[in-house]
Amino acid sequence: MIGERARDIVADARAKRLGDDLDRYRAAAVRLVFGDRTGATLWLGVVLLLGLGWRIGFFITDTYPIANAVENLAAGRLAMQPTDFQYSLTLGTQPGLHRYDGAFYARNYGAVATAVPLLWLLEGLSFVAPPRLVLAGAWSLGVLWLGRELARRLDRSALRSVASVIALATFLVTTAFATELGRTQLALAALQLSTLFAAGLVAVFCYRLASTLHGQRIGVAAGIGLALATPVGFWATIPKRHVLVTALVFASVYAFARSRQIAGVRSDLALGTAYGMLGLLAWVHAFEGFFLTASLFVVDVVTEPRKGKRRIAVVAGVFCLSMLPMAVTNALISGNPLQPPRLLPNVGPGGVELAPEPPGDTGGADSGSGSGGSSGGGSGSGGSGSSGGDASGSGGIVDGFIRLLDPLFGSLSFVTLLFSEVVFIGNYALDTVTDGLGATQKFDTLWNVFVRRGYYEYGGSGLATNDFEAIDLTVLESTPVIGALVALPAVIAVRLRNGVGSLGRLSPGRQTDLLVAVYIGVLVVVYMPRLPLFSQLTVRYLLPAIALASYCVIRLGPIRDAVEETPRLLTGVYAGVVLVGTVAIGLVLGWLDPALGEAIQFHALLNLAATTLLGLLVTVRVLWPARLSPGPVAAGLGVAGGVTTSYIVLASVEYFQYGAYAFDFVRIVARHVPIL
Amino acid sequence: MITVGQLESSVIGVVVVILLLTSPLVNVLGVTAQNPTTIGDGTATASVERLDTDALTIDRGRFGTGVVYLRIPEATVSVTDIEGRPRVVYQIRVPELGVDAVATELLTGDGPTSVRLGPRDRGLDPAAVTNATYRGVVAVRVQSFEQDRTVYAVNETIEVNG
Repeated sequence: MIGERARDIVADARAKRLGDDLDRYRAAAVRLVFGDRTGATLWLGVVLLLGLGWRIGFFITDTYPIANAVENLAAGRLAMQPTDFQYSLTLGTQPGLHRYDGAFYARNYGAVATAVPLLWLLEGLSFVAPPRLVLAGAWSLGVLWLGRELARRLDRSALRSVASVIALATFLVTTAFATELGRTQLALAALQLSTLFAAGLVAVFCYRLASTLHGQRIGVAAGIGLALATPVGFWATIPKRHVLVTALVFASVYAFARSRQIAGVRSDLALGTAYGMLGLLAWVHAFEGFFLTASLFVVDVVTEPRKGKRRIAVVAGVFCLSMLPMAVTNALISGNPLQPPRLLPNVGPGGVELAPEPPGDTGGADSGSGSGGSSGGGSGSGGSGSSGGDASGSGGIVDGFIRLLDPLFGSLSFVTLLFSEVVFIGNYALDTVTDGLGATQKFDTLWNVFVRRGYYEYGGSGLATNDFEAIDLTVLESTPVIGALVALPAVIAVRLRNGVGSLGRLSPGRQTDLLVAVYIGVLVVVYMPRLPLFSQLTVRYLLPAIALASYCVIRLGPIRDAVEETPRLLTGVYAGVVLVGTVAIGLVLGWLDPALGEAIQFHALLNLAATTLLGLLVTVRVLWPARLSPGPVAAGLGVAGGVTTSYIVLASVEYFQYGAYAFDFVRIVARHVPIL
Repeated sequence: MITVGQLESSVIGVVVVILLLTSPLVNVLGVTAQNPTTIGDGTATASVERLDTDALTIDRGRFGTGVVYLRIPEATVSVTDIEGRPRVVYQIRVPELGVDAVATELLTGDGPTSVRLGPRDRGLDPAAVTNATYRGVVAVRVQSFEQDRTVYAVNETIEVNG
């Protein structure tokens, strides 16, 4: 008897300890990813809000191979045959499909792998209830949770009741009007869910980065602003890699900032994480990962030339670990850990993306003409070297050097393979940067990418790509908050006038600024030769750079003053523009009865006006702080953010109806908005 | 008077219960079957209530779009006697310009209804539009797996405005 009771007590204690352990692990995991409870709440709020705009569908044709890869990888297949394609355009018309050794592969396997667990989750839950209701139920429960957290943080218990009513109403409406969401759609839905979650993480890492430099209030404003008032919100549910890449870039920048603020092993680990995020990024897009890693390395060495052995060991270890997923994937596909799928022959139209032209393209339509031309030509010498991992036969200087070294390696063909790959990538990097620097000196190109686009003749076959609709916006047209950076020269001038501090030792914040500036610069330079390009919408190749530049806005003193001193005005103007402004824009467009391209260019002009206004206000505030109070700056910021959110809302409701809404209650509301 | 906590619990309860009732394993409540999204068998009587074919023109794009547009007017079609899941199709073709614009609306209710269909204006290569007028074919049809009946068809001359 006594023995049994003692056993029970021990078992209870064990269960309790296990429970405590689980709680501790959960808390540690939450801290690691979200930082604190505010970060987790921010993530939830962003995901729930941006999820409203989610349409389940293919936005751009090169998503087909990725979605097929999600489906196949979830079933344990890496190599695909045409019969494995769940989502099929006719073979040969799927850009982004690659062939090696008789099998087909997608690319961006990091993005594919992120979506796989979500697909398993959705498939599992589809046994509990139809997927459509599972999504609606999850959304409603999320709203309940958000209501509780906000009520606690803002000390407004009424928010819990409001959240309950919203949760119940939306779920009942969905139940009444639910449409079928077939199981075949789940892989695509999982891919979109992964980008939505990544958009939440973009906000979280921006929040953590801004908080660590300026405190929580600024951090929250930066996180919300980045998610809702920049193109991050536009791309949140579109199944493309850009938001995922942006999340990893922000995680890298945040980890770098922490590594400069703290000391000891934790600092080493933080610096390792800064590199590690880029190693993971290489799994999504090898060349973006490569260029950003090189940038981080340079900034790291310049700002911290001397490192202890432990620091070097930790950073190298973490970075190598982070490269493993990419290396293993590449090795499984082609046998070469450094040869990403993008370097394998394309099936279908050749890419204009950031990668050397693969040899033996079956489509290759873009390589000779159009915007991809300069890069295609530039990398040609290296291109032949990569095909069999054989460096001989191509003409670069470094290649010649390799040929001299070849006998040294003798039978070490694997090392030769790796080495030639590195050389090939090095050649390509040099070509890309040279091309990019050339492209940044063309005024027309810069104007068309950054300021005003309108209709732009792409040349060749690109002209008809989007049915002659001018759906592309420039950087400033799509992100008016960046207009605040127009004041940068003024900021620098004032700084110089007041005397510069020591240049020798930069503060952690300034070192991070330097890293952010270099990331932005490198991304712009390597993508410049390809731009302006069709189907960029918000210059999507530059999304990470645009997001980083939007973060830079919060580093400006006048903007922080506006957020801290007049938060009510800022949120009021923003909310007013989003609620009233969106309706007003809808009414004006309803009256003008525009075509798609016209409606989007209307937004472009409106956003440019907001950009100009904000730029002027911030500049005046920097130069003559006594003449202008923070209020007008807050209003300008609210307008700039508001018109962006309006565009994101209308783009989802009206302009880009590429699929049915994930949430049926949104479909029912959106049905009553006629503009085009 | 219920507390906020009870309200939240009851919302969670409702969500969970409905989810379980709709489960494919239980299959008590087939919610998605009653809201079809695809065409099926069926029929309907339809007539064009309003369609301003004079508004079918070609003109310049605004706001810096730099292309020309085929402006497509909205059609209002009144529908009665809906059976099954037919759909209304509104189609504008301009063969010389390779334009084939279509808007469709699935009919699922039973009562008489008025359907508004408006395909988007169609962007055209400015270099390809060289004539002063083009011939357009406008049609409204009722379609289902069983039938495809044209209820309205006209040939229209489309003017190109500066």
